Amino acid sequence: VMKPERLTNVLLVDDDAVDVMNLQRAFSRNNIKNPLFVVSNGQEALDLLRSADFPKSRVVILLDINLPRMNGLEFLRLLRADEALCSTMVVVLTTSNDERDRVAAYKLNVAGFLLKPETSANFVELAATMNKYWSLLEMP
Amino acid sequence: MQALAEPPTGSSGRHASKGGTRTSTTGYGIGPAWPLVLAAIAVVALGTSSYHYVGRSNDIVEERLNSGATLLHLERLLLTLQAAVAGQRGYVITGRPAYLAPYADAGKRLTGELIALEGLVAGQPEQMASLRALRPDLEAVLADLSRTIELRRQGQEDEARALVTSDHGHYQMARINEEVARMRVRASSRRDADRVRHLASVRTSFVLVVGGSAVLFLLTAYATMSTARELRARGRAERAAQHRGERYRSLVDASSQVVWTADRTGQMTGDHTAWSALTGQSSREAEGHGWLNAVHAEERSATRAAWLQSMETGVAFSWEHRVRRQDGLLRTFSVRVVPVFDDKAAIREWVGVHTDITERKRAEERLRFLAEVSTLLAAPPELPSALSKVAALSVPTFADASTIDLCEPSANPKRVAQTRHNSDGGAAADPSPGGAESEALVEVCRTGNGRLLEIESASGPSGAAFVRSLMLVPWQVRGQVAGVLTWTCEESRRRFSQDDLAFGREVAARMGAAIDRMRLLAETEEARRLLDAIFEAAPIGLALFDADLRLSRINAALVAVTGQTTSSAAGQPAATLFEGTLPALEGLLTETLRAHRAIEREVRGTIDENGDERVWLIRCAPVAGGVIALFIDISGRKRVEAEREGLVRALARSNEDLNQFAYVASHDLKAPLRGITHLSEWLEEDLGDAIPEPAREKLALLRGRARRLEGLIDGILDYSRAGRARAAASKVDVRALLRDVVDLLGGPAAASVVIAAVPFPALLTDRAALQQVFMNLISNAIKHGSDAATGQLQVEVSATPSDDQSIWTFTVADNGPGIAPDYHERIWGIFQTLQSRDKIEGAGIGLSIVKKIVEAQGGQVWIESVPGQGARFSFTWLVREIPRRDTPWPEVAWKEPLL
Repeated sequence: VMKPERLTNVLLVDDDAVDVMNLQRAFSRNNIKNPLFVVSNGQEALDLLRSADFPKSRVVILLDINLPRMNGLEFLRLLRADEALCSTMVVVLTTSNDERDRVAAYKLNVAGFLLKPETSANFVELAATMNKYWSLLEMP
Repeated sequence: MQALAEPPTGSSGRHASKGGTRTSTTGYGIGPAWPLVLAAIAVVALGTSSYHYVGRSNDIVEERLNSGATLLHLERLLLTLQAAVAGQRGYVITGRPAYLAPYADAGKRLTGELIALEGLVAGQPEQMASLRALRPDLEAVLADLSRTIELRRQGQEDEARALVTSDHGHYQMARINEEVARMRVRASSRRDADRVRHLASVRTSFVLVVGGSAVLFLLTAYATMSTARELRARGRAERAAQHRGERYRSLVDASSQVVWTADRTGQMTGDHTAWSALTGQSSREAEGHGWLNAVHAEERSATRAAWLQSMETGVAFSWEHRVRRQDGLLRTFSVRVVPVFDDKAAIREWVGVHTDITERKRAEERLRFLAEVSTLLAAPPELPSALSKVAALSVPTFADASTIDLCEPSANPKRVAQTRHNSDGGAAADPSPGGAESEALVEVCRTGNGRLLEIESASGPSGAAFVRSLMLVPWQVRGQVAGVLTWTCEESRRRFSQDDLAFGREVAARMGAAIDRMRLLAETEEARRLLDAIFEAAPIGLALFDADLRLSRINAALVAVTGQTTSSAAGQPAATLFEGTLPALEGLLTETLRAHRAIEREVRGTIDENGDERVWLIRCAPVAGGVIALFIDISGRKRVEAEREGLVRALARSNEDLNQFAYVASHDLKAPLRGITHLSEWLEEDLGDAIPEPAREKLALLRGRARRLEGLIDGILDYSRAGRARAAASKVDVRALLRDVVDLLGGPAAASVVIAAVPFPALLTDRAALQQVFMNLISNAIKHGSDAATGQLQVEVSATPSDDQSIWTFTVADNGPGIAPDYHERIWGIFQTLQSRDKIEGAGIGLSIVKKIVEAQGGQVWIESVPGQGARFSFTWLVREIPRRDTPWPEVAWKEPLL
């Protein structure tokens, strides 16, 4: 017996329109009802997270590393330093396979480090898996 | 001349024994006399008392015998009477005359007994009275008997019997018996009393005799002991006297003195056996001044002159000269001749004594010689000339010839000095050493042991057979046999003894020590000069400070730097000298002195003449009596070091930038590409069947180009990483590695990859790098050979070691189409492909990565190929990676044999 689907608020921080579109297409392909918020850099993400009308529970941030103005790692550092936001779940979704980025991200307590799939089909599959996983998660 | 070889030993002996007698007189005077007198008295007393007691005892014994005899005679008297009575009865009864025999004698016997008894009891009135009483009874009995017998004989038998049985006879017999019993009792009691008296007398005698004997024994023992003691004392005294005599004789023998006499004019006269025994001259030969012929020729005339002068002046003559002994040996004698005067104070004769002082002279000569040798070698002239002088010095005192040879480690000894003494005074060239001598010389050089040698020679210089006596003694310098001193005697007929050898060793030891010292001095001087030269010529600053840290010396280099003059700086304390310019120096010097070890430190200072600040490496080391300080200007080195560090940092930064660039470039380039790919896919998806077929093909081409560009970007990234990131070396079994590679590649069925059946090594290297090289080469061969017209593609990997097995050459050969020589260089370039990319999808990066990796490992890579005959790609690889300085060599040191 499946539990009734719990919705998760997804905040995508990515400046690449194709990748944003990729995720949106993957969500719709998988019929995922999760609200999807999109910002293009770290600063915008912080601003949004701190705004009053942004949901305070069941939030997952999908974070790219290479971003204009404030990159992913800088954003992570500020997030972890923020009393109210420090427990937010963050999954890195990036094209960077750099070891240093990986280590730095995990040091800042990310819940996962995923490489952007090369093809759309794989992107769809990834979105489905993530969604499935999130629905099972108990969050702060 | 009267020769008295024997000194007056006798008189000396008498003296000695006289002394002995004197001591013994005191012993005899009192000691043994009084016990003897006492003994004599004791003997007399004992004799007298013994005589007295024995006499008394004899009387007693006699009286006892008397009593015994009385008893005996009484018995016999009774028996005789009873026998007569019994016989008479027998006759009366039987009538046989035989019974009358006892009766016949009875009268006579009884009379005899009575007479005897009278003699015995004379002086005893009771017994005399008894005897007198007996007599009538006896006569009465006899008369009765006679009467009875007469009757019987006449045949009147009955009357006779009647008489016999009558009481008359019985009564008489009873009286006799009574009287005899009384006498018996008296005699017995008398005998018992005598016995008691006798015993007492004997006891007294015994006590006397035993006591006297004891006294006598004690006295005798005492006298005997005294005598024995006296005898021992006398023996000792006599032995002491004898020893004194013997000692004196030995002394005279040892001093070998010859005493002789000459007349008033100095002529040796008379018999002189001792002189003859010494020299072998006959009395006639020695007469007059003939004895001078025994004196050594060189000293003869001088002796004669001095002797004659003494005769003239009448002064005692004292001289020393050598005398040839009977055995031919020259001995040195001292001569002393003194005049003997007569009553009128005129010289009557001369008494001379020759004393052999050879040993003393020799000892003196030896001492002098040793001293001279030491003196000669103490002043350092040239060594050969010093050695020549030593050789000359020993002739003729110690030897007829003297040579000195220096030992050579691998050659024959080299003769450097020789001196020979000739009787004619000239020095002659020494003949080269003969066989035995030469051999001995080599042996002594080798063993370092001195030795004596005697060589019998058929003919000497004088034409007669002689013995050459040689003594070879080596000297050592620093534990090495350096040379040999050889002394030879032939003319003088001397033979070297063990004593001489010991002396020779002493001489050699002194020579060795002196030469050693000489060399040491020379070397020290040489070393000092060398040090001076180094000190002055050294391109670094040198300063010597004494224990009080005052400058004692400064070298030219430091003078040049500081501008100090040697004269102005010398003697000044380090603290003052370098106060403002190098304040750290004093502390360094003090620390060096205290720690007593070298200390090195880099300090900044302005000791430079111009006052420039420079970095000085100061090294201080303790030396005898102070500290030496080395000043090295390392400012230049410091600057270079700083520059190098800056360069290294810049390079690292540049590399980092490059890394960053490649990474960012690839990332930023790849992102739009992926966008293109995705967008074209979405176009197809979204439009679906609305896209015409030619447009769909173009979309596919678009994606293909995007993929190819992505491949190129990945290639750039791979290439830039290749050979840069080196993993730690690990042990790699190359055959196993190849199996993995083949499995990984899989490859089309048409191609088969064979690992040749040759030994493959195990290497200590970066596994990933080697794997990449093999992977790229094999996949390259498969990729380019798979479309070969030859059909089955075969790829073979083989390996060959270099001669010393330090480098291996690996070859990947295929039977594919091959590559024309024109392209053999170009294929290694990046993005170089020989086939159209549309035909074979390849980035053209594989071989360039191979080249980069192999060369980064210090190897080479090359190709051999003829078109149509396949290609052979080869590369070399080191067995063990050259360790980098900063990483320690792994523990797995290369020990296993190669596979």
